[in-house]
Amino acid sequence: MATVIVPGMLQGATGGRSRLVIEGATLKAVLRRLAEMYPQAGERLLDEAGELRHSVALFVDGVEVKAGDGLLVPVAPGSEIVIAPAMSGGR
Amino acid sequence: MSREILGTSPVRPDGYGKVTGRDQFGPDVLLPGMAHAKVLRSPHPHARILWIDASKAEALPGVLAVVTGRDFPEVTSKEAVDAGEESIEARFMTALCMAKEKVHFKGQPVAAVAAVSPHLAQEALELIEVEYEPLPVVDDPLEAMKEEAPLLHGDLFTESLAGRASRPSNVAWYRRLERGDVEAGFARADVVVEREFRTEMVHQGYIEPQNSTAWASPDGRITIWTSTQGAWQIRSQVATILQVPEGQVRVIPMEIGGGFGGKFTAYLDPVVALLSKKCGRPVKAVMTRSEVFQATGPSSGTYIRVKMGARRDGTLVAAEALLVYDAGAFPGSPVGSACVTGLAPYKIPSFRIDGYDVVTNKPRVKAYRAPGATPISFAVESVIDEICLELGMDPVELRLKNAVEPGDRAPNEVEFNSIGLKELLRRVKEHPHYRAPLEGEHVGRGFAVGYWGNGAGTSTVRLSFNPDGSVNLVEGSTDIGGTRASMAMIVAAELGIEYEEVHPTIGDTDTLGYNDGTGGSRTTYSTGVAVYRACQNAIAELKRRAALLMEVDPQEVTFSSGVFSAPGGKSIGIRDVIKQLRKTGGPFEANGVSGGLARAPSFGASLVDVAVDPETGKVTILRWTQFQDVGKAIHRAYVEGQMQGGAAQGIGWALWEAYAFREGHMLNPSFLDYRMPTALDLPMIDTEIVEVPASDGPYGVRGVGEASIVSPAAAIGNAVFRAVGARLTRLPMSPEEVWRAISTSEAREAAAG
Repeated sequence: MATVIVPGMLQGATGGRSRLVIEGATLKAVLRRLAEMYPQAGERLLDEAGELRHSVALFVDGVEVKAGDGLLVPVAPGSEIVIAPAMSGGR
Repeated sequence: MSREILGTSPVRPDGYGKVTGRDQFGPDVLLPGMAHAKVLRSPHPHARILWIDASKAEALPGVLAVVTGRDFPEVTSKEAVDAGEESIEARFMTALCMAKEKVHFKGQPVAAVAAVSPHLAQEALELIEVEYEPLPVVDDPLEAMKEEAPLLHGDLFTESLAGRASRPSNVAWYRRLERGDVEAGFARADVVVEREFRTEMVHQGYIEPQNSTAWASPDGRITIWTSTQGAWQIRSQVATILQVPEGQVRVIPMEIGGGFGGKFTAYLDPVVALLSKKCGRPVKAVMTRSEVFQATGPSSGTYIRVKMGARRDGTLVAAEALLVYDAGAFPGSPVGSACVTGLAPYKIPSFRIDGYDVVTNKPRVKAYRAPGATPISFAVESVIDEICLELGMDPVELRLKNAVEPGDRAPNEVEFNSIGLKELLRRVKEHPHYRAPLEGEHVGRGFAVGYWGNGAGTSTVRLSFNPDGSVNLVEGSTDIGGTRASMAMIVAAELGIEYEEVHPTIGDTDTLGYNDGTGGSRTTYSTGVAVYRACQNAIAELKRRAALLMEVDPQEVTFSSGVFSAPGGKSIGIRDVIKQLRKTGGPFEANGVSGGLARAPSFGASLVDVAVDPETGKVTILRWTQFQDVGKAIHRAYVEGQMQGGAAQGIGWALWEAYAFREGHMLNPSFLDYRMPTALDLPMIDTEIVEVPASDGPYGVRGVGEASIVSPAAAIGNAVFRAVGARLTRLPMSPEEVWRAISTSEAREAAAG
């Protein structure tokens, strides 16, 4: 089970929850499950192809995952996934 | 040699070529039959292109090809493409190379000519006729945010994690970071300070202008020789803009005359590639300084409002920040990183940070050393200084009281791993400069902290071995700040050979696997990890070879300080093993790849003494000490150089540098009118290296290239206040601005009686 930290701007799409506990062996699996639980949040994080949107950065136990990096990042039990606005500009 | 080399300052491997002028920079490229290109640029900051007629230019003898927007493939994709420290939508990237229907900033390319000489190409530009329909211009980000402002892009809608706006706007992005109950936080505060700040666009000011040479071979392969911080990023952009497979493009990075974040973008490369394809010759283009200023990417101008509250004991309890960053013509200002960096040094239980990325009719901004961090830190660190003064607290003491530690979280809620802010602040307190008395009239001492998160990314390197026992290292990181030296030191340290026995070279996109660019202070850290891993792979194979030579079981062989040993007193040096590779199975190569590394953030600080002339407003720097937690200094002199270079650029940003605009027209596009500091303007910048090892990597290295530019502007502003009692809230703090601030502050005091 990974803990997902949800930023304030996305909490409107997660029923006001700032922390979610979600199971999944990879980031992709966790996000897929998150999108099933909260479809609106899923749309804001992932594009039509299921890839991370460029507006979003994820940090898995402090290691940044950016759009284009792919989501097959292993997630250990007890991992922390922080959802944040992308640091770099552009689109 | 072994690890004791780390932390020393050996002579750089590329020193001879640099000092004698023998090294090859982009403009030195000379190919048989090569043509020269010049670019026609829009004289309007915002206009519709009605038609372009290049027939007279094409008819000029000696002109070999002309391209306009019509020659570029239609790239409508809104997919973002990697541009080093940022990403940019593919269609906007094309527009930076060549406009199609509209121009969005003065200097945007509208046509390009290849001719037998650069002078003829320039002459031909004057024969190209372009009919424009000028459109209303907006060159101020606050004006651009207004509902009635002219829209740059009809299909730009504000996006955020909360969704997408329904009406088009010049606000491309909105970001909010928040924690706790901000209003309740301010209610608990005994002191609240709120200030507004403005900063102008500034340029990286690299000495070598953008340049590129391309050869589009009839077999479809495109080879590009260019000045770039990221060959792989240029390859990706060229392939996207020209709609060709990436594997058809080879990018060869030349020696580079500075970048500072500004040389990740393919401004010229696709243009010369297309011209080359059209005329069947290699084509070279070199920008003029005026083109560099007006058509490449400076750093954002900003509007920032910061409000902070503290308890009487100095504990920070609440903060609010509004950041408006000018992106120029297309979305992509560094407001995202600014939102994370400004408040990052402090534990603040409640805050709200709102960031806006706004388009205007100005050059599209690009990364510049710690992108976005200097303006927000100027604001935050100035407000903190005022809080210190109101509370009568020592500025280092207040920061120590609130400083983040490992386990605390940055404003984007990412947990800090190993960081050394407290150690750095303690070092400042102990430093002789901090305790030295200040003498003279109108003198003041200012202090400020700066933070940069540092990148990690991925790097690929390769080692091969020579019959004389020496080692070749091929890396893909453009050598801007001494990469060849520091990477060679790591090879020497790990393999136990002499530094001079390592021959480092920079590879290209055909000769090495993918590399992220030299930026984000990631290279010594991430490429260093790749080199370390390549060395470990080499040692594993060399151990097997050593076992053959010593006629022992490989399991029995140990390795230390360049010597393989086995029971029974047997031993053989690594050089002897390398020399005998042919006898033990033949040559081999050892590769190393890094990736998935944790961030290794760096904190810096500036301590400055200034004298201010109240009659003229002139600020003179009397003494400067730059502090930084570097994790572990690999090449000490280079680390000091990075700290000094960052501080120097920060001083220029603080006191002199600024783009001046009138209705979207830059008024000072030359080094004569755009005032960068020279050696005569700068003091000796003393450095104080703090080494708190980073969490990841073999030596605890942190990137050092950027944190040092973050704090200088605020430190100078704080020093000026303490010298003459005037708070500067605009950059640059030119004599006029300082004089005005002094006059305003004197008038205020007089009015108060």
